[in-house]
Amino acid sequence: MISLSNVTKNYGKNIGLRNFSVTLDSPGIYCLLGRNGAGKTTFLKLIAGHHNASSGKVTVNGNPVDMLHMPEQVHFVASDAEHFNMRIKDLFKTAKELHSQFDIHFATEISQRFKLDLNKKYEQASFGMKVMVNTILGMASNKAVIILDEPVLGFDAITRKNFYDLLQDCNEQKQKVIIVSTHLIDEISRVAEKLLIIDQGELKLYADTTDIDEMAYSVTGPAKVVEQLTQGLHIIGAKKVGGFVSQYIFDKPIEDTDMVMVSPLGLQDFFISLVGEE
Amino acid sequence: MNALAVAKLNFKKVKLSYFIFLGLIGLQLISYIINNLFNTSNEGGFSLSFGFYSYFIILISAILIPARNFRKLMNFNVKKLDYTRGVVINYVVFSFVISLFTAFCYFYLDKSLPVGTNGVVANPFTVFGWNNNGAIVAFIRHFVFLFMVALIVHTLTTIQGTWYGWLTNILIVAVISVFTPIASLRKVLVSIFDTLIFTPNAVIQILGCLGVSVVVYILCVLAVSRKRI
Repeated sequence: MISLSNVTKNYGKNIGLRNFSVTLDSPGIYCLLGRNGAGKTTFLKLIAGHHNASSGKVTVNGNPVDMLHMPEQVHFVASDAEHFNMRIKDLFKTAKELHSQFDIHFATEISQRFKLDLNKKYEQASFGMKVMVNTILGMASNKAVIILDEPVLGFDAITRKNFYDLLQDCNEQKQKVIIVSTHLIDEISRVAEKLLIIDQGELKLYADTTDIDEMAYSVTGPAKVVEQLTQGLHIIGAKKVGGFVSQYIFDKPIEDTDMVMVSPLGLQDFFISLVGEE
Repeated sequence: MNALAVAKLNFKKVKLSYFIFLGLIGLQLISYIINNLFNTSNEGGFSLSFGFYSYFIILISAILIPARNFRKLMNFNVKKLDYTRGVVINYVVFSFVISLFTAFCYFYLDKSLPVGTNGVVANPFTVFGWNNNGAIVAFIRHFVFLFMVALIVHTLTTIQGTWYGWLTNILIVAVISVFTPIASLRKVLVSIFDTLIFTPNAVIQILGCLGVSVVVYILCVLAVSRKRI
C-alpha cells in the first residue's frame, strides 16, 4: 500500500531521511518512534506528498507521490495544523463539502464523546481541543491512510486515554492504515500493532509489537554469567552496576536460570536501548 | 467538484476584501453628503467611479487566498491541483462580477455622482479607452485584464518567501528602475502596457491578456507544487 524505496531527503546540507526503504502493506495502527529530528515528520510528509524526495521513490497504492500529485487516499494531520476560524460544526460541514466521503456523523459522535462544543469557534478552543478537532477531521475523513503527527501533544491523561480508544474504534470501524508519530511510547503500545523506529534518518526497526513483547527482554545477573548466556544474541544495550550487568536483548527468548533474571522490556526501555545509547 | 468547493470556501474567506470595498464606497458617500451639507459641492470636479473601488475585491483576494487560505485549505487535505483550479474559478467569477458592476457604473451609477455637468467620473472603460469598441467588447477587455492581474498578484504572493520569489522581486524592481529612465528601454515597457491595456485593437489586448494569463497560471501551478505546507 505504502512504499518508500531508497528514499533520501535533504534539506540543504541536513539530511532528513537517508536511503530509506520500507513497505507498509497491511492495515492497522503503526506507531512511529524516533528522537527529535530523527526524520519522523519528513517520513510522514513524504507519504502525504507535502515534500518531494531528493532521490528514490514514494508510492501509495502503486501511484507515485510528489508535491503536485498528493495521494488521494492519504489524510495528513500536522501537529501544528491551523484551520479557518469557524464554528467546529461548520468545519465538519466544510470538510464534507471538500471531501464527499467525510463521515460527518462519525465526527459529530466523536466530538460529543470528547465533550467538544460544536458551536465554539476554532480559535476560541483550547490548544488540546484544537488538536482534537484536527484529529477528528482526520479520523472521519474515511481515507485509507490516516497520518497523525504528534496527535497527543497538549492532551491531558484522560483525553489521551479517550484518544487511544478512538484510534482503536476508528481502526475497527473500517480497515485502514493509521500512522501515529508520538513520544509517549508506553501509552501508544496499548493500541499499536506495528512499530517503526527511525534514527538519524534511517529505519532502525520495523516489527510487530507482539514480536517486541516476545523478543525484547533484559537479562540481569553476574557479568560473566550474563555474557555467556547472551552470546550470539542481538544485544541492543547494557548497564553495569558493580559486578552485575543488565543486558537488553532483542532476539529469541531464553529461559530464566538461578543465576540470572530475565524480565520483559517495556517499549520505552526497548526504544531507549535501541536509539538512546549513541 | 473539489475545485468548486475550494472556490466556494475562498469566496467566504476573503470577507476582508468585501469590507474594504464597502468601506471605501461608504467613505466616498459620506464625502458627498458632507460636501452637500456644507455646500462645498464637487461641481465640475473629478471623481473615481465605484468600478475602480471594486478592484480592491479581486486584488486583496488575490493576496489573501495564497497568503492566508492556502495553508488552511491544505490542512483540509485539499489537493494542490484542486486548489489551483479552484483559484481560477474564484478569479473568473470575481472578474466577471466586477466587470458587470463596472459596466453598471459606466451606464448608470457614474452619471448619478455629484460632479456636475462639467465634472469627470473616471471609469475603467473610459480611462483605458475600452469603450471605443462598444460596451460588450469593453466588458470582455475589462474581464480578461482583471483576470490576468489577479493571477499575477496571486502568483507573486505565492512565491514570496522563496529564493525565486526574492529573485522575481529584485527583477521587477530592476526592470522598472532601469527601463524607466532609458528612453529606448522605456519604449519596450510602454509597448507591453499598450498591448495589455491601452491598444485600440481589442483582439490584440484580449489575446495578450489571455496569453499572459496562461503563462502565469502555469508558473502558478509550478510555484504551488513546490510550496511547502
